Amino acid sequence: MERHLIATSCLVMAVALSVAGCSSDWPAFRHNILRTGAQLNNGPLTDATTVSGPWSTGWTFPDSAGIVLNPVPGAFRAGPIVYQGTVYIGNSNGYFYAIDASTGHLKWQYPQPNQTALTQTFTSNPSSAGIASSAFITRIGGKGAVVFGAPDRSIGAGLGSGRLFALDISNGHEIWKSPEIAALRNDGVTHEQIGYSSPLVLNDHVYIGVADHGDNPIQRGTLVAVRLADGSIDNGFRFFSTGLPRGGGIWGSAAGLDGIYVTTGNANIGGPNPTPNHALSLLKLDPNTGNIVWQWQPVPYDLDADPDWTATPALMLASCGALAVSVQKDGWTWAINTGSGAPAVGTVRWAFPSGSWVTSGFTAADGTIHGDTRYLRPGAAWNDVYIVQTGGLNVTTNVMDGFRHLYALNACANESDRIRWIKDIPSTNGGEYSLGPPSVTHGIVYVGTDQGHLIIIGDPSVAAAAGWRCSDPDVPSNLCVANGFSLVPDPTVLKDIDLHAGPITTEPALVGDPVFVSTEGGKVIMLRPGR
Amino acid sequence: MDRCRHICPVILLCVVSLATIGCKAYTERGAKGIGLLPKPADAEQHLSTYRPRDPYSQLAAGLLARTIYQSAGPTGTRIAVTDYLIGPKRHTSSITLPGAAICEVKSGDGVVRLAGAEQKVNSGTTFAVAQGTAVAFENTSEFPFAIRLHLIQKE
Repeated sequence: MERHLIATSCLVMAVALSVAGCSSDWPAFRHNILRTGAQLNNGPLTDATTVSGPWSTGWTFPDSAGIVLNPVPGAFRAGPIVYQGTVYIGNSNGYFYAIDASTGHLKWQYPQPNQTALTQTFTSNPSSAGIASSAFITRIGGKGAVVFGAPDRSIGAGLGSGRLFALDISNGHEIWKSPEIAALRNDGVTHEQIGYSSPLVLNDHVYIGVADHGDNPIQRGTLVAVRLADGSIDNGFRFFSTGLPRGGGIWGSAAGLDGIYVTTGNANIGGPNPTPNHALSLLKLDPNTGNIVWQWQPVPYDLDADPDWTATPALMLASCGALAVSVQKDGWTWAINTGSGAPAVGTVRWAFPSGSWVTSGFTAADGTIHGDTRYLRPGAAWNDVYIVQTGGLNVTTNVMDGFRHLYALNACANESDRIRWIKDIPSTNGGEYSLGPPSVTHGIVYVGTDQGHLIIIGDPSVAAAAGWRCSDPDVPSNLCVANGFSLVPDPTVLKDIDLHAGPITTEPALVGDPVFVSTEGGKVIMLRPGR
Repeated sequence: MDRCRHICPVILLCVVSLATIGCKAYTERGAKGIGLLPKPADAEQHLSTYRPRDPYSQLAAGLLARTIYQSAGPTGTRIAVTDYLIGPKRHTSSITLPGAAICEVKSGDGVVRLAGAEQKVNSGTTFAVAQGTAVAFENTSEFPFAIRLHLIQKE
């Protein structure tokens, strides 16, 4: 029986990886179920010389659509998902589009233009507008399917409660719609939403996080599992971040490996500590029951000044073991050993920056502050390297400084070698939404900026660095070594492309040759190296 | 859970194996992205053009400092908020502050020497320095030892 289970598990993993992990497409948010944001296949995008040369735009949607869209797309808060020649993406106008990846023509849209858009009456958060959930490609009943979360005014109180949709990838026809997952009520209290959370398909289920529209009042976070076959909710799986009444919204997306990995938002808006309290945590859950395998909660309730943990964790299959890695909104990045025993506190491999908090988290005595600073973006994992917008060695004295930097962290190195490189990303405003999530392929990193540029930088192992700079970003390079700090590489910007289409808050999808980018200006752009 | 204890490592092994050898075009089996980057001996001769927005400057041997805020205080005084930074395993020479100060350790562990008396401090510790007192710092940790001073100076 056990042997059968092992074989089945391996088969499921093999299928999942063949669909997502090794795909030259970009079939899921962060490319795959591990949420690494990494394209493993070779192609022009992996060649530093090629990407340093000229680039050309293949098409810009909706200009390329072939028809006039009504309504025109608004901001894209979901990232482009690319599978077998089609780009799948939802928009803040409440419509989901399938776009021909080679021409930019519209293949189909859902709902149809004469049908009610997937929107909600609450609009207090950027993710509240239309569809902010990036899609996931899978197979249901032998046919290709695209799954995403969205509000729907035809259920619940008619205000736009959240549910999952599974559509046939070839024509956009419904395969199923889940029951109400995130409730929206006109009672002044209930305002759950799916928001940015992107589905994870694993274990014959679809897992989706539920957060809210803001903290007034904060909602209880939950991870919901629906059956892949028919979209029905599996009540055998149950995870709530906190006891009632509040807290721990799941804003990001679940990652999957030997369990389900999620991060949770804050809980303290006054009042007593909820029981249980799994807010502000990185957790590993049993995929069948939702039971907690381990939890890492570095910021205790008393220090909770709204440092939601929202960045989707990346699961790194590193040479030193499997790690769950994510940056919390306060600017600290954590790497937790995935194999930590059950039920237990997660064992920390490292924190960045490091300090007394590594072993048991922060305390009121350590003087650290954990507030609403916006380190929100998931990092990218490339072998043993984690690339992320994070606070640095100066996080306790200059927490905002990290917004303009991208760090590469050596996940398996000693503490003294944690920083692989630091880059000031050009063409940003330097504020909290300066960067979108980075994507990486063979050491070449792609990231969008709030000034609407696509920036491409090369790890120094694939492109010579521009020079050396201090490991502490506030220490001038010429004072660095004499004061006991280390010099670290300052990588080369291989290309800085102004897309002239508004800020970019989503991940670049790297698909062999083209890059697909969605923008706040309501555009999806296909561009590629070469004239 | 017992079952998971046996099965999960096998599943993990499957995943690692597939991720390592399963991708047809996955050719990165060398050091790229795994090994540390080499640091040339002459790295200090090849500094990049990066300039900090809020840079420290060298105030004394082993001591970096920057003023992040200053304003006129009550009559005849001036308030300044200043950061001191001592690098890993470094110590400073003795200095005299330009006024009285309330200090908070923002990161790291170290020793403060006030008029010859030693006090061990770490992240979160607060202490006061009277005007005219000689003070020196030592970073006993591998991490940056950062101290925020609220200085009250006579104008």
